[in-house]
Amino acid sequence: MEINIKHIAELAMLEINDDEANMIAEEMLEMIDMVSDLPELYDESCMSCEMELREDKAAVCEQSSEDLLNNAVETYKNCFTVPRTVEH
Amino acid sequence: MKLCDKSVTELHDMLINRKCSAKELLTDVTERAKSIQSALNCYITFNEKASEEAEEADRRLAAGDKVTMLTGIPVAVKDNISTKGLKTTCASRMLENYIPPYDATVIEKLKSAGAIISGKTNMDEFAMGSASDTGIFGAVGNPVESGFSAGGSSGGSAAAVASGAAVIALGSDTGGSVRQPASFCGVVGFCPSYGAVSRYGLIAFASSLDRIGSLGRNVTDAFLLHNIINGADSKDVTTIRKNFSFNPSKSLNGVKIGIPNEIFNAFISEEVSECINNSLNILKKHGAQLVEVSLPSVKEAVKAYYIISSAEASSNLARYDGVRYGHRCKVSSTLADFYKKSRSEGFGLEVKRRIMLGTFVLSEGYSDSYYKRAVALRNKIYQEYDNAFQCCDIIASPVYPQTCISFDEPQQFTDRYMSDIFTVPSNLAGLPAISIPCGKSRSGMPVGMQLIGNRFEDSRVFETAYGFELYGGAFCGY
Amino acid sequence: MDIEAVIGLEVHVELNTSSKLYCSCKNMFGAEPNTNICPVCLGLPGTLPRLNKQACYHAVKMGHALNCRINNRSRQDRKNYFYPDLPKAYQISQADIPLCEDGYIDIYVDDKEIRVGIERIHIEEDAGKLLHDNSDSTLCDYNRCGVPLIEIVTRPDMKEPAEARAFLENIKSILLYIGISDCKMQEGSIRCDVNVSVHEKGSPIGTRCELKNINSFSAALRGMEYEIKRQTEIIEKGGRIERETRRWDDKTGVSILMRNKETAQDYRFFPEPDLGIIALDEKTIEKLKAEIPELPNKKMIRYINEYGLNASEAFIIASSPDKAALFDECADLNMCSIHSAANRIVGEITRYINDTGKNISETGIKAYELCELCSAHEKGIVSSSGAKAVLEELINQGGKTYEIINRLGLEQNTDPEFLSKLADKIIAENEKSVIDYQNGKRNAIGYLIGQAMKASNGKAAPSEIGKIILNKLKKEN
Repeated sequence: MEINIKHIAELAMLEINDDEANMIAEEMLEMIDMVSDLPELYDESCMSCEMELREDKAAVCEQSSEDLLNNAVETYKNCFTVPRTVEH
Repeated sequence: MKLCDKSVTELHDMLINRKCSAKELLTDVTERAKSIQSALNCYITFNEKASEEAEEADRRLAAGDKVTMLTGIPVAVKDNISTKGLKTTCASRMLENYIPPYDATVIEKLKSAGAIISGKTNMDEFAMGSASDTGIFGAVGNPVESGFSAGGSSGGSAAAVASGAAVIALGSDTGGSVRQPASFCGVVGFCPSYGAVSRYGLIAFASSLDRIGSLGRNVTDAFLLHNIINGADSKDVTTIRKNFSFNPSKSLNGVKIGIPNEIFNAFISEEVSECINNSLNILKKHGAQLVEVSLPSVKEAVKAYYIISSAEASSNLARYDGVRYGHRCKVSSTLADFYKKSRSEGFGLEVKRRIMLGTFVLSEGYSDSYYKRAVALRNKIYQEYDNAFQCCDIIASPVYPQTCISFDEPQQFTDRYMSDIFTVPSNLAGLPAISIPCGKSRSGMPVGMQLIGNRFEDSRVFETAYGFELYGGAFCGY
Repeated sequence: MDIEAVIGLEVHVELNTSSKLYCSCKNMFGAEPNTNICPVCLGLPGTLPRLNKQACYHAVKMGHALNCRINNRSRQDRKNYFYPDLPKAYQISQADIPLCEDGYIDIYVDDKEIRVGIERIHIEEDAGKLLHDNSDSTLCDYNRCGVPLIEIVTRPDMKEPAEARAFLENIKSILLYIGISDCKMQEGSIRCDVNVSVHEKGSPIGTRCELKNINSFSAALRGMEYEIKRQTEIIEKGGRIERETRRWDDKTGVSILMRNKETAQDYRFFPEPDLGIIALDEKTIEKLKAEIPELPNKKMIRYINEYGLNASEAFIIASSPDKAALFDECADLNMCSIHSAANRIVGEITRYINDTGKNISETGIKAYELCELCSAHEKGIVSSSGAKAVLEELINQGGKTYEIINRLGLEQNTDPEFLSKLADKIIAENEKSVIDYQNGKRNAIGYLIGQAMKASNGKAAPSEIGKIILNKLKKEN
């Protein structure tokens, strides 16, 4: 099996150089090999439980806007920033 | 015996009778922690406000106001549990400077019980690892022999408890991360039923597997900690409404202990095997009944575990993009370049490896053959445990196939993964499990036995462990 | 070549709940950037979502309104992709098991009935907004993150842009009827993606292209027309349509390639492990069904059959719940010709609402007063222009019809004795016009009515006085 490491890295938004790509490809093949003889089961039934739904009541957030922006390395005009991007 | 080596029960008596103060206890714990920090590297961050918290606890103790078993008791907290105003790094460069603006539910509960957060403990990066050696702050040494690993990923918590650098500690357990280091360090580590303890504030690795577990030097200490943090939480809809009791006087008479043959003989080292067999004999001698149970799919559990946990991790860790918190690259050209640089600089190799695997198993064309089959296998394991618990109360096994992991002998990571064979099944099935000291290797390294209970029968796990502790298990830290 | 288009729509609607979908932040529009956020909608490490009950109920109501099957156990899934408006780098949505499936809606386009199949309706969270400042950075405002949305996905059952437009108008009208969205287009509370394909008549359906970034119904119309033309030209030149996602630029009127097969997104859907099953019991589902009012389609047909309104009047009234409520109340009061009430609702009242953007409850008009006014006009108590003035004031300020008539001095005298004497006086004083009339100059009557109005200071009801003068002239003959 061939794994397209570059494509996976693109999906995962990771920068993988050629050396790393080779190493990770090798490791992933090993891992894929480890998991490849999974039994042929197709049971999609979901184990998760029913959940309680939240009542639709608005509440004021405990944290201030400032508290919530505090961990960002860069902010501007009370906004988080990313390199300039066009609409997608 | 110094204060920091005493049990919660003893300390509680001393505190309410004013034989010692919370402040003295904290000083003792902190001094011990700092004295061994360079050798063992248990902590990432000490809580600068701990001493204020201890003074407040002393006021509560003096006034007899809202005193609980944990009032004034120092608790170490794994560094992936959010603490308001106190750095929470996940041992990752990504979150090296991250200060949560809110407390995890378990932290709120500890604070309102009057417990003191001594600091944040070292771990594998984002809890991915089994030797506490993948984080950026260096590996955690084993208190018995610092050339060996304390285990992982909650190695800092286990080593701190074992060495008196904390009285009790919180860890997290996604595939054995509380139980395995507990076993390596000779302490008790409990991983509750999925849903028994709120995950709100626990920085997610794999949401459907993650639990917050309790570590102590004896079963009662671990229980007392679990008892404070467990319970339904409206902030975590996967929690369940159920209260757990603990009846420590319960004997082992009539307890049916299941032995899963399929995995029992698989690559267990001779020394571990010896310890477990001795322990099973002790259980039997004191009234427990040993029965064989069949868990045919459990030997495949590691595969399902690595697929599901990596898949969830790839999604859970996608939010670290350098925008709102966490490491942000200095120079970038495009948006994609910015994301890739920030993430690649912020994450270590083990984390990247798992994100890559997780992304792959969910990607188009592969999801059916990997992710969906792993989920199906998980469902099968779930059902097999349900069946097994029809004919036993507790399932016993080793915690880890080897007695220790040496820092000097590099291991193939897939071998390391396969060694999680005993701990991951209970995570997949949502079951409560405990690691309890059950002997030592010839070189003196502690060995733990695992007791797994049926879903939401957390009390029974504690009771059985307590019974075993009375007759055979004992804290065997250094 | 005889080419036919096939259109399918994905409509995103913001629900008007009090709080967001997965946290307790207010569901509101227009706050200062990042002042309506919390650890949960900001996706801080360790936070967990809690699903809003009302949002589920709203989605189920829409499911009922569109004749869907409601799944009493449904699931939520993560849709994974990186974009700066998505703080968790995944959107919580529903993939395999949505809340509602397999419905339909019958719509009328040019008096022709068309059934549009509804594939599914699911709930999902909205993303934040990106602001493009003059600086080198794009700014992220996360206030809108976590606002509850439903996505309505149709089957490819529409053939023309006009049908798609009628479908969208129907959806908007139903949303207003069941009260689950404010439908404020300018605030982006309804958005849609369009799937278009073309094929030669008789051949199988072609490869579709998805058109994104459509901000209004008219933009949707333009986008579809452009896309049909673009694809038709390719087919006619013997080319092949590739599966693409295209971005509609309404300003320049062209669609631009965003992603093709090679660069297609891989969303890596999997069940959201932080949430459990959404379980709805039969009782709740039935209760929500019972809360659905008579919907516009049914109402429109009833208006045509029961009151004899024409299709366009019936459509204008029925498609807006507050106009329909006003009309229904007038019909219940039964004080005036229902046609004149309908006329005024479709005419002056609709014009006012379109001009001001208000809804009827924000105006002063009440059904009872509207009926009083219509009946006063029918009885000749106010003239047409007088009635207009009164209606204007009723709309602007409210009040009582007769008080306004009196205050403005618009009441016309309809007393037969008064009118008879007035007629006699006018006939006596205008001999020349009377002779003209009798000599066949029919329009001389108009002059006589004018004189009567003048003599009575405008108080004589013109239609009444006209009739009386005519009668008297006929008698004299």
